[in-house]
This record gives sequence, C-alpha cells and structure tokens, in this order.
Amino acid sequence: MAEQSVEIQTTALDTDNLGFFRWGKLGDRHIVTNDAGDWAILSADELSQLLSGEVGTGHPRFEEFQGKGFLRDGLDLDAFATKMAQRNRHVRRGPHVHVVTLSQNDGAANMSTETAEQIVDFALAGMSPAMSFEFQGAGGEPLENFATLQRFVEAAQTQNKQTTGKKLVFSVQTNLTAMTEEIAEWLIANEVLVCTRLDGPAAVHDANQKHFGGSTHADTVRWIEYFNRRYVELQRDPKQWHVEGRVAVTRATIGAAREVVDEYVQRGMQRIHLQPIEASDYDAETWQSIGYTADEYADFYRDTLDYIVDLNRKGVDLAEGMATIFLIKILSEEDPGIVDIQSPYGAGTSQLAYGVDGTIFPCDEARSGEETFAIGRVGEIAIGAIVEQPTVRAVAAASLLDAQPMCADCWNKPYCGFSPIRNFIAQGDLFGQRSRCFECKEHIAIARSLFAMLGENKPETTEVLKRWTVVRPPHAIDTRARKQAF
Amino acid sequence: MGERVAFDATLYREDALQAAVDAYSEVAKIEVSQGEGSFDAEFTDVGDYDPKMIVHAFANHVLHETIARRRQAALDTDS
Amino acid sequence: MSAEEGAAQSRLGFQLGPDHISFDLDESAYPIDAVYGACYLFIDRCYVYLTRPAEGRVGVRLTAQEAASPEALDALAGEFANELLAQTLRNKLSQSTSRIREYYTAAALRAATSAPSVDDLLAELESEELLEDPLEIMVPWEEKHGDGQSSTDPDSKDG
Ligand code: SF4
Repeated sequence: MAEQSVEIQTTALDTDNLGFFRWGKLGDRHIVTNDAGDWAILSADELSQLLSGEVGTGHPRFEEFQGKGFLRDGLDLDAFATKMAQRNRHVRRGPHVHVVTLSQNDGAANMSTETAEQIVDFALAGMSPAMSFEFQGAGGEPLENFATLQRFVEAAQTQNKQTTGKKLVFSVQTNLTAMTEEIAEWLIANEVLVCTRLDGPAAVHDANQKHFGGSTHADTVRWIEYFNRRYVELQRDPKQWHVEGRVAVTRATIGAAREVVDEYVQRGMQRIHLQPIEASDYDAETWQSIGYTADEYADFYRDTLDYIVDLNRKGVDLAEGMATIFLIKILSEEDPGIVDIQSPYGAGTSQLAYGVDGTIFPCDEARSGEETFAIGRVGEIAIGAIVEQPTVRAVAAASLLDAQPMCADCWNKPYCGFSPIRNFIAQGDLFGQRSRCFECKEHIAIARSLFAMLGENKPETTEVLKRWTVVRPPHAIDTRARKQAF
Repeated sequence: MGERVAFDATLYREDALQAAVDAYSEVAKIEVSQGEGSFDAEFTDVGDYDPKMIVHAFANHVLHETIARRRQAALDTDS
Repeated sequence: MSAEEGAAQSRLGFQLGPDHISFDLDESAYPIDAVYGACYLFIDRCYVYLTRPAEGRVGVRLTAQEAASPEALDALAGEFANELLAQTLRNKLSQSTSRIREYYTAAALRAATSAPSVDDLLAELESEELLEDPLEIMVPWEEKHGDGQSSTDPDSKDG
C-alpha cells in the first residue's frame, strides 16, 4: 500500500536573531513570555513574523519586542539577569513566613509556652528583616490554645524590641469557634490579623460545615463584622486591617459562584481567596459529592474571576487572592515569595512550619508527612543550617520548573511553581506528573484568565487588575490554609 | 500467557521501565525481559482490572518516567 | 509524517484503528525531544505508545481512553501534529539561544544567592516599602485620612 503523508507546514525560524522566549495559545491570539517575566500578546500573524525574523525597525512592535528581549538585537544580558535576580531576591533573606501549629487533633496535643519561646528564639535568629508568624491548628483550632498564642506574641515582640529590630507581622487562621470578646480585643490590641473561612451565603457555608467543621455562617459573619467595626472605630486603615476570608471551594460553591462573591461584597470584605479542596483529603464517597475535576474548577475560576472583575469595574473593591499573587508577578518586577508559587519551591527557604512539640517542617503542608519531612526540633538546630538539610535540598531540586518536562516549555513558567510535597502526598512522588497535577491546571487557568483580560486592553479592566497588585504583607497575600487548618 | 508489550530501547529508558514496574507492583505482576533492541514486559495477575487498560496505562507511565529522567539527566550534564 | 500501512485511512491520512490512531514521524524533521514534548502533553488525555518502525523514524500510537469516533481520533492526531510543530520550533529556539540563557541564568543566580549583609537586606526592605504602591494606583491612606500616624498600622511597628 502506498505511503500516505501528512505534511506539517513548518514555520520558518530566524534562529540567529531571536532571544529566548516561550509561547502558547490564548484564544485566537498567542502569549509570549521570557525568563525575566516580560510578556506580550500577539496575533497569529505577529507571532509568525516574530519567529521568522520579520520584525525589523519598521515593524509597529519592533521597539516593544526589542525592549522585552525577544530579539537579540540590542539585548542587554546583564540588565536581563538583574531583572531575573530581582524577582528571586527574597530567597537570600531566608525563611520569612513561620507557620506555628498551636493545637492538634481537636486539642489532643497543644503547644506549650516553653516550646513557643524556643520557636521565637529560633526564628528571630534568622536573616530576614521582616517576618510573618501565622498561627494555625492541625485538625484543631489555634485559639483553643490562646495562652500560648499570647505568650508567643509577647515573647516575640519583647525580644524583637531588645535585639533583632525586625518588622514582625502576626496572623491567626481561625475557624472562630473559640473566639470571645476578650480574645478578640487582645488580638486587636496586639495587632494579630484574623483570617477565616467564609464559604459564601448561609446555604453554602453551612452545607460545607459538615465537612470542614468550624463556625456557622451566622457566627462567622458576626465575628467578621465585630472585627471590622472595631478596626474602623480605632481608625485603622481598612486596606491593612480587615478580616481576610477564604473560600473552600466545593461542588456547592461551583453551583453558586455569584452568590458566594455577592456575600463577600455584602460583608464588605477586601479580598476573596478561592481555594480548591484536594481529593487526597477525602474518601471516595465524600469526594463524589463535594469534589470536581480540574477542568471544572478551571471553568469555575475563570467565570468567577470575570464576575469579580466586572463588579470592580462597577465600583466594588474586592480582589481575588490567587489572581493577586499572579498579578504581582505579571505586572511588577517583584515576586511576592509565596512558598508554592515560586521556583524553586520555598519550603525551608521562604517558609518554615512548626509542630506542637517544636518539630520543624519545611512548610505547613509537610506537617502531614511527619516522618518523611521533619527536619529537626527547635533548640537542636540553628535556623541558618536549615537550608543545608537534605530534605530541604531534595524538595527544592524536585521543584525546579526547568527540570520538569512540561514546565520547561510552558509560557506560564516565569510566574508559576508547584509543591513537590503536595505531589508526594497526592501521587507518592516528589516530581509528580504535571499533566495530571491539579495545581498545574489551576495555575494555567488563572494565568490564562488574567492574560486574556490584560490582552483586551481595556483601561478600566487593567486598572482594576493593577489596583490588586498593591503590595500587602505576605500573610495578607497568601491567606490559603492547608488541609489541616480548614 | 498474559499481555506482552515491547518498549524500544532507543525510545524508552530501562530505569524508567523499572520505576513503572515498581509503581504497578500492587496492580499487576510484570516480568521484564531483554528482547532484540527492546525491553519486553509481560503482565500476569492483573486481578479484576482490564488487562488492556493496564498495559496502556503502564506504557504511559513508562513514557512519563522516560521523559522526566531524560530531562533531569540533560540538566545534570549541563550543570 | 506518514501513516502506517495496511488499514483504512483517516481524513488526515493517519492510520485509524477501532480505538486508536497511528502515524510515523521522520526524526530528521521532528527531533526526538520535540516528539517527547508533544507526547508529554497528551499522556493525561490518551494512551501514547512509541515504536521504531525503521531507523530514523518514530511510530506514534494514540489510543483513546474512552470510546471515540474516527473524527475525534482524527482531531486528536491533528492536535498532536500542531503541538509537535510548536515543540519543534521551541526546541530549535532553545538550542539556538542556549548560550544566552546560560549566561543570564548564571549571572542571575550569582546575584540572587550572593550572601547579603544585614544592611543590604534592610536597604532592600526600605526600598520595597517605598515601592509599596509600585503602580501608583492607591491614594495613600494619609492623604485620605489625615496624618495616618495611627500606632495600629502594622507597618509602623518598631523596627
Ligand atoms: S506547573 Fe503547569 S502551568 Fe505551571 S509552569 Fe508547569 S506546566 Fe506550566
């Protein structure tokens, strides 16, 4: 039988005159990005002109492409390298986010005040001039161990004043069940920010409560209003001082996306942080009723983000958390240093987590793999030695996007990252398969939605997205809680 | 006789095949032998699973491991 | 790119089976790294199996994970072909710029990992604070609300 052939039309490539960039489809256009995080959105014609070397001095986008290093002509490699280094400079500061587990398994184990003091000593010895301490529970509520939280904050503040002089920020991830007015007033007076889960209107929030526990909708809203009212009474800047909310996205959320957003608007929240739940946390039957596929989540995210941005264009002031993280990377030359959305992964270098007994983990997720990921105990190891630990090095090496088959070619690489520890938990392997990985699909959906909006070139949309990038302290940018803290 | 599949030695890595055999050890019994220019895998004891589906999924796994290991090896050589 | 011999042809000239579609590729036109790159993107959507039908040629068989019509299989192979082309171009661009990338990656790494002094870090932090609104979108709190010297502003903490 005669051989049948299907020809692929090979586009010419001007290898001598191009800088390095990656590209991919964005609807009927193309997104082009480079390692310094510069980007441009091109029509199909413009992309083939760029690839085939037809973008010369007379081309309308010549200067733009040259300035972004897509062309070799005029490429300033040192300036390019400086830009790349600028994005990663938080790495050399050492751990700046410290997640402290105050209570575990519904109070079965609590952190002692002595351990809290040891953690303060350990953490404040680090290089970073700014540190964020985030109090969490692991299958428990941190405010159930309020005495230790108080001691921790007081010890850190006192020691910091006397010696290290760092900029400290405290926050608590609470489900509000143990909140009292006395505790609330102490948190306000001592500048401990409050992050909680608000899953939307009562019907959605209370339906989720049977899976995640925590407060009812009525109680959650009552406390949010209490704190926000007190901040206003104390004349605090509402941009800095407000309760941060996150949504544990379930199938119920997907069916009521607009109502969930409307709830946040109605409560005067500044930011909504959409957080997918993870299949590995649930049995098959539960997942069947509350879970979804990565593609369903991506569709939900895109539609919900569209709705949020649309409300902002009409005067509402509500940012989405994950979009904010990506936008800072896309629209500014900074990187917010979020542990799992950077390459290499920031476990042990940007973040450390502590178990109730003072065991040190490279990040909060690692607490669920106790044996595998523990890197020592406070009092037994110095913070400067953490980065040399084999676990930290192995996790960082596994997370390098350049080493990942799909990531190395992906246009989203300059803004992305993934968690090898989550891979290990979900797929039993630090590297995992990108194409099967939920967060890969989530991250590409977020970036795709944002670039599609930026590519519309509508000033009112771009202004909304830029407004979200105004830098906040790290705890406020990443208000997600890992599974232990739902 | 169970299902058999040949992995061409110029396209698939032997260590990738071994990693996939380990990953599938609870699903099927897989014997690997050296063929002519290939590594041959024979599947037995696939339990209640559809043997064809297992072979296909296994082949995907070997391919994934091969691609990932090649990439890592290239980076290791560069550095 | 040519179809295997011996079976009904698909619309695009690939070889169609009941649940799969196959074709073979000339490695001199499509480097093996590009073939792998395209395969990787498809392994969560279908089963991919590679063979060596002849020296310098790679056989690709894409098998649907669920029942699929000949049109769907054709579309799958068409998508694979497009991805393969993109991968081939990326591959060439990557090779032709490898020295440039080596240079800037090494320089960036040196700068990003050089041990900073505490003074350097403080200066950096200071400059970031000044850049707190890098895009000058926000009206400063002080402007909106008077002196803004509230002791409760987290940024006004000691240190
Ligand atoms: S994780 Fe996914 S989205 Fe992110 S760089 Fe890798 S392939 Fe791209």
